Amino acid sequence: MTLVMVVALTATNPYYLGIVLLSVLLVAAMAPKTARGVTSFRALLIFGAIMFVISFTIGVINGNYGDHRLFTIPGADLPSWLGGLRLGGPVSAEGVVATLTRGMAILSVLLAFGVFNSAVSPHRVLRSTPAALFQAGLVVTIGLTLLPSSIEDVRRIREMRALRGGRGGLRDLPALVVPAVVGGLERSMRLAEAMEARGYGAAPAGPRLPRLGAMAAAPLLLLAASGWFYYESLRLPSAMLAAAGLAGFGWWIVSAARTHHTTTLTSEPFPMHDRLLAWASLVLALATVGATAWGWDGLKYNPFADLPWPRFELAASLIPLAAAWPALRFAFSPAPATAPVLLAPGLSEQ
Amino acid sequence: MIARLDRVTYRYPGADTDTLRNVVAEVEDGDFTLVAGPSAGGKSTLLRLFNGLIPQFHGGTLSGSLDVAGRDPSRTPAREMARIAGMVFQEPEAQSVAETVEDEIAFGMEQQGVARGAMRRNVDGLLAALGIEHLRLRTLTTLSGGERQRVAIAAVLALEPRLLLLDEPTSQLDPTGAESVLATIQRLHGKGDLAILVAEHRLERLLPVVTSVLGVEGGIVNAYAPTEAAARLAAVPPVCEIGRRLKLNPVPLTVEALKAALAGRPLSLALEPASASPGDELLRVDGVSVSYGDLPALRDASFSIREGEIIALVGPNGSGKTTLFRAIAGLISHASGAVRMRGAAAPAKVSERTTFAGLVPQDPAIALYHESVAEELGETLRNRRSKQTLADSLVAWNLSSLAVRHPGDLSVGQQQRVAIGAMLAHEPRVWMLDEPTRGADIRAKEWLAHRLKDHAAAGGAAIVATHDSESAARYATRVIALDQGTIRFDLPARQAFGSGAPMPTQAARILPGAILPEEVTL
Amino acid sequence: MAVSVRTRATSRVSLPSMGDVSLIVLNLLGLVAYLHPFISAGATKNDSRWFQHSTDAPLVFAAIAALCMVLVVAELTEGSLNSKSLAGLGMLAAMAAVLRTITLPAGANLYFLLVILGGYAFGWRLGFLLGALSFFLSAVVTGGIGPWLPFQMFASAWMGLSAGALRPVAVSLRIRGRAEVWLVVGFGIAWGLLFGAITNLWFWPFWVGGPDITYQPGIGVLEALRRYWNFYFLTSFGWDLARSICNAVLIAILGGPLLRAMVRFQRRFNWKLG
Repeated sequence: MTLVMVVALTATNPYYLGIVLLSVLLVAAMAPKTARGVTSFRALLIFGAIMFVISFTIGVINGNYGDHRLFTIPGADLPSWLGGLRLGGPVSAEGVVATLTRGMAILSVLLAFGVFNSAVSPHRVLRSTPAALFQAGLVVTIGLTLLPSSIEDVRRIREMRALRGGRGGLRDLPALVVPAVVGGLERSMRLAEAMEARGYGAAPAGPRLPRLGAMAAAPLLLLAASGWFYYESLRLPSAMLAAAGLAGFGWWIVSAARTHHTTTLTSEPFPMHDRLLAWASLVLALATVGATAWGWDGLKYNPFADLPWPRFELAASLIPLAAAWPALRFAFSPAPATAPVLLAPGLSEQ
Repeated sequence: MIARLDRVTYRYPGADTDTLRNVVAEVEDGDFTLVAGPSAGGKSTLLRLFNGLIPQFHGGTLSGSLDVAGRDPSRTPAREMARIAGMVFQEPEAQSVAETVEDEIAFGMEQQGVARGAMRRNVDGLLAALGIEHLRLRTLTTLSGGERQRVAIAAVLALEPRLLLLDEPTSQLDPTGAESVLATIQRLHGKGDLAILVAEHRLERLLPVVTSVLGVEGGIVNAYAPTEAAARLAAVPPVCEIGRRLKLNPVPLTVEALKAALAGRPLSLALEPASASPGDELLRVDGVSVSYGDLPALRDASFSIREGEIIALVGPNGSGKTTLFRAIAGLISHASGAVRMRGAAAPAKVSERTTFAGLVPQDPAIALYHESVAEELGETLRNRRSKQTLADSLVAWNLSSLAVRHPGDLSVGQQQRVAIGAMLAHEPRVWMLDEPTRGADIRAKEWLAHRLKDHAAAGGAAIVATHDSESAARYATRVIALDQGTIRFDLPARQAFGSGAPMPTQAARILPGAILPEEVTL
Repeated sequence: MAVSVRTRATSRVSLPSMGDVSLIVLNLLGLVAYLHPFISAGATKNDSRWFQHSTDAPLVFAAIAALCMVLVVAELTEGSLNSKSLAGLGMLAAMAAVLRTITLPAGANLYFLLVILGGYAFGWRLGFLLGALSFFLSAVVTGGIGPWLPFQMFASAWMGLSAGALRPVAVSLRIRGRAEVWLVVGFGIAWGLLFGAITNLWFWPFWVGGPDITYQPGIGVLEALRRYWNFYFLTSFGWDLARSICNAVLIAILGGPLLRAMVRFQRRFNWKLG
């Protein structure tokens, strides 16, 4: 998951992007199907394809970097008050290649998340929320709980409007929306009462110091990133700042987990080997990011440097190929309860 | 003793009057107490005093002293009170947050940090105790109302409270679901020291099995023994009413007890002269069938209804009652067969059909939207271009005194009346009501029975889907029973509710030929 | 003995002292991380290698923006919500999430209406959480979790937050009745456009077109803005415009009654965040 995202968004070499894309499709084909998953994955596939075509088209009609001119389409400039954008004109081979490459990257990310979304149930995602976000998670859980009855309410109110001789259309909209919203809010107050009676709801605030630490993480990481990317001489201090920021954030997550002492009925939501593999892929992803940030160009390709033929190295290709491991996992145990494997390790904590 | 209230008076925030006045009540360990009384009389408020929801959640002003297991619930944190007094609410959907049954039962324990092993054992024990082991891994949203309420009881008991409070736990359920929940509660009584307080309208089921009764009306609370309650409460089950009429002492709580108390004395039947025979045909349903996908919901239903008739439509949940109504109102486009209104084919549009045959679905109050009662009724009159004046309509639905009030400020019973009024303000000739008295108290049921009879006497007709044969016996002239989409029988009310019939009333089980309590005399 | 208990919501202190300041700071940091493509006017030379590394920095900055989102949400919910606020917020978020999946003609969506009116009626804090959590919820339910999510959450959260800030302005200017609805309508039009502009930002750096439109590090704020405007204009302006006009129509029709109903609810249950 994380790996796909990292590879897709850092790699620019079409070979590796192709491998990632194929890996994702393989995993999608092997993953157990749930009714909800199939529809959402199909929707995403269609959406991704449309995006690919559109961005490719737009890229081509004004993709005019580079010297290898393929052909010219008659074009026009938009008026300058609209930004002076040029449409049409010469189409370069570099532009086409670059657009294709990026399109593949975005498509891979979309599809990888599609597989993830279709394999993991909402309640599962929420159970994996770190304790630091306990309250926010609770809000979302409550939302999920109240959803079905609210949808049913809307259907029934609509029917009752028709039975009362309501004319329908836009003017009838308030009569549909207002009772649905008010009724939903009132139902939520009844749920609040039940929650209170069962003794949960408000949790006490966590300790203050770790919270401060977490908040310090944001400016530290921001500074670190700016330093790293824009001032080559400041790389070492930037790395230290980043480490400090991440430490603060981690401290907060851990200490919050200690304060909100809860237990769970079911043991580990994900089996051990899945967790190991997930961690391994995270490490690989981080290593890739790190290496790239240090200037490793193994996954890179630049069509604008005189349109060279992209290099292919077996060693580098193993990284994107690793994204396909969940497919193997599915192949060996055909029917796991739900497919947890693509999960980013951070989510499987609690 | 587990709980004691002493001279407790309570007023909701912003209210003009006290909801409870000078309440004195005691609950012993192992008590099984029925909290009885009309809607909006203070039953729910009383229960909420025991676990601190009042005043901690609702606010308001409280005086007097409270003691539950040695603590003052008005000041004890909710997290702590949950381990002393657990509460189950009316609505199955608005009291759970987890996805599956076992997670729901474990949720409270998870929040309290109970160790996993203990939690497992506890969950297993509760599933067995409540007879819901087969539901363990089910998703909550796929359960029936009765099953969900039993899960809710298990979830509350998971924290091992000493007091179990149930606020009308069956008011949203059909008879089967209600019976399963009440039987579960009855089983819980007598196991250990758990004290149970249950607010209910289904007195006939509970009065014979409880150990004591708290009568709550108009903010005043009285403690009774069960037989005393049968003699003193304003609204009692038919068998108690017959016992009271026959001046039996003590008032019997079951049909068997009443027969025993009579000791062979003969009873006689006092029937009122039969009302006028039905007039012209208003509505005819001819071979109507409906299926949802492959699932048949209604098979070849045929019947007609004439002026002056009131049909009680009975049958278990899912037998096709609602589908039949929807087909008549034109809401189901793929229904086969024919609906005829006053001899002519029914129009296609829902709004035209319901001008003649108005339909009130379940819980119509959720669609109330205007900012005053008068506007609610006025809109219907305008939409239907009705000749009825707004003032007449308000009088007909007994809403004149509430005309300028916001529907959101009214009691649940009043809201229900406003909503039914809003659906039928244009006085269609045929009324179709889908479970209009679900969760209602006896007064509301009696008012509706009168309203239906007036409508029939004025040449109208009505079809009422209901599970409640006792109150249907008061207004129905005919009974149609549906079962799995098929009409099982179509009988005059006196046969359907009489002795030896498919669904006898309590009066019929005491005296053959009678169906109402006042028809039984010495 | 007489005990008088004040209603729960009023007896609570809303947030710890460091709350508001840190929230503002975190939001600003999020904004900086978020708008990084515009201010990446650093030292990277505009050479032919730009294409290779142009996506590294945006990836990292997007991750930082997501972290800011997590922190703001955690800080806003930490210890300050009672069961009423939790449930009410959950309900509103659920409704907003459902509405988001229902697209009316011309891309109009009641989602915007609910977040804007929710923020307007119940305050900026709820507005922010409603915007952020409803987007999260709808992503969880419909399967829309992905790198775009933090951007959408921020856009939507800022929409709710600014709607909450609009109410005090309306009150101090004594804008009431119809005028108040029109004010919200105008606000809705503005956000219809802004929302698209913010959410499209996530994949701009990963997208390649011509020099007038493509993201390139080190081009300076003005040039970046010009290019992004081109990008936005070409990819979504027309769509967004139609959408925001339809949204405005919806607010004009529904704003009055819904706002009155929400204020009524708030009074009846003494409901507010905190």
